[in-house]
Amino acid sequence: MKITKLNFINIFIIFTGLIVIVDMWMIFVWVPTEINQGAIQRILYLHVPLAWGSMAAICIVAFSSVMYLYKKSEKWDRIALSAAEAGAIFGAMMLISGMLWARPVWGVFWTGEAKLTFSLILFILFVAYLMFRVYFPKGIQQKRISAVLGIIGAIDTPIIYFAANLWERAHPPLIVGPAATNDSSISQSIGLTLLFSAITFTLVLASLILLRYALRKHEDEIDLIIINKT
Amino acid sequence: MENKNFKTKKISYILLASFFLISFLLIPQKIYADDDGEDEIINGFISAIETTNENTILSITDNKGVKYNIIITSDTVLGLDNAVGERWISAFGNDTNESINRLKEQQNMLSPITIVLHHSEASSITTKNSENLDTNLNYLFIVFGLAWLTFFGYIIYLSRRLSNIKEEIKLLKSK
Repeated sequence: MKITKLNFINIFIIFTGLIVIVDMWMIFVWVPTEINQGAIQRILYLHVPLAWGSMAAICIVAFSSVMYLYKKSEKWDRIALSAAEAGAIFGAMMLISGMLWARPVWGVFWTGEAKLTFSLILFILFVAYLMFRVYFPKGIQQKRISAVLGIIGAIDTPIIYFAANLWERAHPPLIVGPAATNDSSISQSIGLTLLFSAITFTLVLASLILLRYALRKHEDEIDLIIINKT
Repeated sequence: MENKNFKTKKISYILLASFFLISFLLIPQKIYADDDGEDEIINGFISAIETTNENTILSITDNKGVKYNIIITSDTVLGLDNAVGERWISAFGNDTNESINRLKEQQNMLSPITIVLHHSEASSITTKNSENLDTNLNYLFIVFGLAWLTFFGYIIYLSRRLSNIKEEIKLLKSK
């Protein structure tokens, strides 16, 4: 049987669903309860991968935008739009999960610290990008300006990443990447669960982008048919 | 049509301007609020409590074995859980003897303790608040419930739109 693109997306989503089930088992059954925060710490297995996903999404938006400006191919514009929409969902969930974790642990929903502020800006960037796509008249001009917006938006990503080290407050120092320090160490089981969750949510992000891309492609097809008919 | 385009352009410009305005207002606020360089947070265990005629000094050892000697003033706020999870909150100067007893209790229990230092004096000494650990499960349920509802809802919404749009394409092609 030939695997069509839509079949592939369905298979990919089902595969992601299975990985999600394993991830939930790891989060709620396998990993031990953290001693200081109790069960509430399990929110971090969702919050951290969501933050990673939203940062990955804006990088995809920026890369696709550069490629669109360079190649002028509709494919890259569709990828940028799909990633922005998925990124907005990831960003919103990252903020909500972070606030609901912070309330019982820090005693407040929100603090003015750098990492939080720049994460909020990232979410606003996604929303601004999507609103621009909706309200600005369709056409090449819209795609070009939104590509520039997408590239500018990606500047926020390294700021979020380095914020914990630059303006160190309630967020712990970095444990992954080029700026990681040895100040914050986590146990093997917690680290493994966090890593597996990050992989799971990367797959969820990819599923959302693939599905949105397929939809966008069909929307463009309809636009083309209507233009040809009129 | 032209009027409509003008309106959408106007809305887009207003939105973009608001976005940049909010961003510029948020960035400096954060940097000033956060990076004053006056407060320092230390996490560790109490290794000794020394009381002199002038002040009380708390020795804290962090998880890397670094020892800190911290001066407690009468304004230092204490928030400490006892062995059964009851929280006691008071300024050190309100009842010095009780405060020292409570700190010694934390030392005996080897409780992880967090100290906020302001100009090398402790402004607060706290242990984790374990009173609400059970009720915190509500937050856990809400976060995971909301996340999966959003993701599944979005996937279902996209799938439905996709199948509708495919039908529409079929219909348009057949006309």
